[in-house]
Amino acid sequence: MKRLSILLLGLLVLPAHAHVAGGLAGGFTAGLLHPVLGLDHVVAMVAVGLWGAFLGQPAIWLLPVVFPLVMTVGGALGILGVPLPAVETGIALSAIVLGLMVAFAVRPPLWLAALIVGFFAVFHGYAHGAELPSSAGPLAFSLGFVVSTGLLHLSGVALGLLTQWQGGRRLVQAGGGVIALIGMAYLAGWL
Amino acid sequence: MSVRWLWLALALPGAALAHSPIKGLGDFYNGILHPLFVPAQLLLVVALGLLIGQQGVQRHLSAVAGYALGVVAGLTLVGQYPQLLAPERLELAILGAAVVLALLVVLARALPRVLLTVLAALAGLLLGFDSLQSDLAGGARAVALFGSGIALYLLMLYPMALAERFQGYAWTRIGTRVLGSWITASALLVLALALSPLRPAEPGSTPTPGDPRTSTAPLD
Repeated sequence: MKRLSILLLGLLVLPAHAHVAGGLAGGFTAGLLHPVLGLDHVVAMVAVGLWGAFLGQPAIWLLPVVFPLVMTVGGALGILGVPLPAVETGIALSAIVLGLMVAFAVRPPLWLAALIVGFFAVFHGYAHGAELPSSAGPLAFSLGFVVSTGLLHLSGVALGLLTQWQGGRRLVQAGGGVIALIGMAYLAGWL
Repeated sequence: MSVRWLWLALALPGAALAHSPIKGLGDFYNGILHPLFVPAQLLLVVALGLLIGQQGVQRHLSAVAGYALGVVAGLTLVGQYPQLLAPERLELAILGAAVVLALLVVLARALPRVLLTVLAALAGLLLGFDSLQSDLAGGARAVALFGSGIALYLLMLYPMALAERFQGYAWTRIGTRVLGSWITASALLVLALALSPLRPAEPGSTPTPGDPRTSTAPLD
């Protein structure tokens, strides 16, 4: 009886055809993961949200609206094959600059903050956009990476709300310092 | 012990037969699912729903009606003249319309009733026209198109209701605009890809030596 049971077990267990990502779902998943898998992207996007918290209203809410639109410019440059020098350096620098802005709680005028963030958004968009022509589903890929980038911003904004408390403010500033250090590690080639 | 083994065996999961239910769904339900599997259509439907909800549904009921009429007109036209527009051009037109409507969501300015009604009708026309399932004919095609029409209308109502509810608080109003910026960005990128020399080659085309278009992926 025991042998029969084992035999039955072997018949009932079928191979797992486990979710091979392809086409629409694969494109969206690849796009969603693209910004998340690069630590330099992640920390820079979170830094944008954190800095928004120091800048206060309306920057804290407007940056997540403006950033994807500016990033599109960089993405379009990448798609059209327009050469942009030192993309990875630009991304590492974005983590350093934005991290330092958070660490020292710098509050420039809104136009200047938007200019700095917009400048670096071009590099991030370029890196994502260059992947688009080779992706399985370009529209799903672009939607995935735009949503992912937006959610990283919102994570930064949510963490940035800690600045309402004195202890939280120090914590956010320390987070900015860590982000700048990560950017420096990327620039030095340690990461 | 043996009985326990048998119970264990019966409790084990079987193989996941991905997407197989769609084949047996029938024409009507396949028609209903059609807009969900075309990302360009989804972007336009969501952008339009957000825009009407943001502008106020009560004030813009004519836009809702215009959209419904546009969808019906598009479905009727494509049923009669399936070859009228090339699918690639239609998709670019849908993405272009999504960019325009989503940008209006980002700007969040009050729009004249007539303008929004015309935009909604045009969006409906494009979406209805893009609902053809080319492997169907006759009665099956009509049933599938009917299903797509219902889905296109219902799908627009959800973001519309959500956006109207979002008008209650400052941070949720920003949330609507954030969604608009996401739609604008992703649609613009694919439009850039369509104009790019790196654009994926059309399926079935012969690769040319030195042609950078190495992929055969469709736009969606």
